[in-house]
Amino acid sequence: MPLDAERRAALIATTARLASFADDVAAVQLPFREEPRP
Amino acid sequence: VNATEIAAAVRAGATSARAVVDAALARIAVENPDLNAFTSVFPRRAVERADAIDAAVAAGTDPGPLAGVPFAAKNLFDVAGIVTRAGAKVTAGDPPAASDADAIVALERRGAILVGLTNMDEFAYGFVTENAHDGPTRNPHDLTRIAGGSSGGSASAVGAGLVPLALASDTNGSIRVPAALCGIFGIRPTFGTLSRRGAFPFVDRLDTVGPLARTAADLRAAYGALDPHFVPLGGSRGWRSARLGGYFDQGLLPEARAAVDAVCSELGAADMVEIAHARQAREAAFLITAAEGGALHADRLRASADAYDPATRDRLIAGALMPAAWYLRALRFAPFFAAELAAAFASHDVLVAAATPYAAPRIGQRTIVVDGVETEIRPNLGVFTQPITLAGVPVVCVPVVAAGELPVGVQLIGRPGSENALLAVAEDLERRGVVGAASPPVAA
Repeated sequence: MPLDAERRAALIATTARLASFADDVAAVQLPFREEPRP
Repeated sequence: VNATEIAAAVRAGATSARAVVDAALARIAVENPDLNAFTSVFPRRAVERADAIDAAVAAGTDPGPLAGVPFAAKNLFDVAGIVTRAGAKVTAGDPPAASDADAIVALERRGAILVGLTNMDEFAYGFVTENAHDGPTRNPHDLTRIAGGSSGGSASAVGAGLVPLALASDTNGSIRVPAALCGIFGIRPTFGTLSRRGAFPFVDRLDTVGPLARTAADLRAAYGALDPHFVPLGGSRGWRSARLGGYFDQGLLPEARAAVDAVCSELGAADMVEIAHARQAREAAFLITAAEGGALHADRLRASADAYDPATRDRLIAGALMPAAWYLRALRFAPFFAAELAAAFASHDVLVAAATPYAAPRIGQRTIVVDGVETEIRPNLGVFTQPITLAGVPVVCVPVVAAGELPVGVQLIGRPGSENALLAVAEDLERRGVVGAASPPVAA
């Protein structure tokens, strides 16, 4: 699917927002393990 | 006229369902060109249904507690024989729905009458109902302003008094935001309580359906019709209320803060409760929405991205391309946040917060200045509804209307399954004159 400059910019801006949100959520220390036990 | 009064009159034979439906259809014909709330109207279906209800009354049969009450539904609900649009053009080639959505069936089983379907943000992904295909829905209190979204058409129709009830859906705030901006009542039920069968999906982990109404009693009646296990509570029971502080006490314009002040004062909510990770809850809901919405639409986007509303398309594409790790982080965080909110309910029954940071912005307005910072309106309208979404708890949105001002809404948030308590609090506040729908200037 071809992307013009405006749509590419919108996609990059949205992805940057999602990345920033993901980093913020990941920084929360959850009180349970993230990895399965062996 | 509100729903409970209509039903009482129809059941008593004081008026006919046909007269009520004819009047609603006439109001829609006159006012919808200004409001753009309805995208389709079903006069034949509504009149046939009304005649059947009048025949039942004449035969001595009770048609139900919503007898003859006209209602609208957001155009993501299935109606038998009609293609379900969900605010989109790309759905035009889909097969017609085989049957009505469960929510429509539940209301009609109790005597209500579907009169039409309403405008929305495409695929429910937005808070403004400025739909690229169907045009913007206008706010009945000021036609230059948005109705909110994504259930903007339903809220505008109820706010203008075209119908006393409407069906809507709420993933991140799509019932609460338009209810607030149009000055009416709305409820986002506990996640998983009401059937979503026949409602076009958006985010499986967050989607809910619920009603909008002009009075708290009507909201209770509509909710009672939708939830077979609902047991209403009467009167005030000394609910322990608190105001949400921290995240929820920042970034509000004075009208929203004044509305929260008024409700908290009446409820005696002197305590301020802070939810430590509300910001991250909003972010997690945002990530889950992007990922699930993107996944749902990935195939259609590959084939026909250009047929999407530009306001929706790029966010769905970004969601479809999002790393799975971001989605999984958000999913892992969700139960942690639900526990954090549950801890607040150990000492309080009702938590109070603004529904939106400000009253309805103008149609086409992109930004607004809050606390000296220019803020994007579209994502920001859901800043107080979206974190609550993640915990799956019920919320009743109540309207606060100061004389000469645009309406704003306040969220009454409860523990899972406490819809009856929240609805009782809303009715109590309405009785005391603190909350209530304003007379719409458009319909006056």
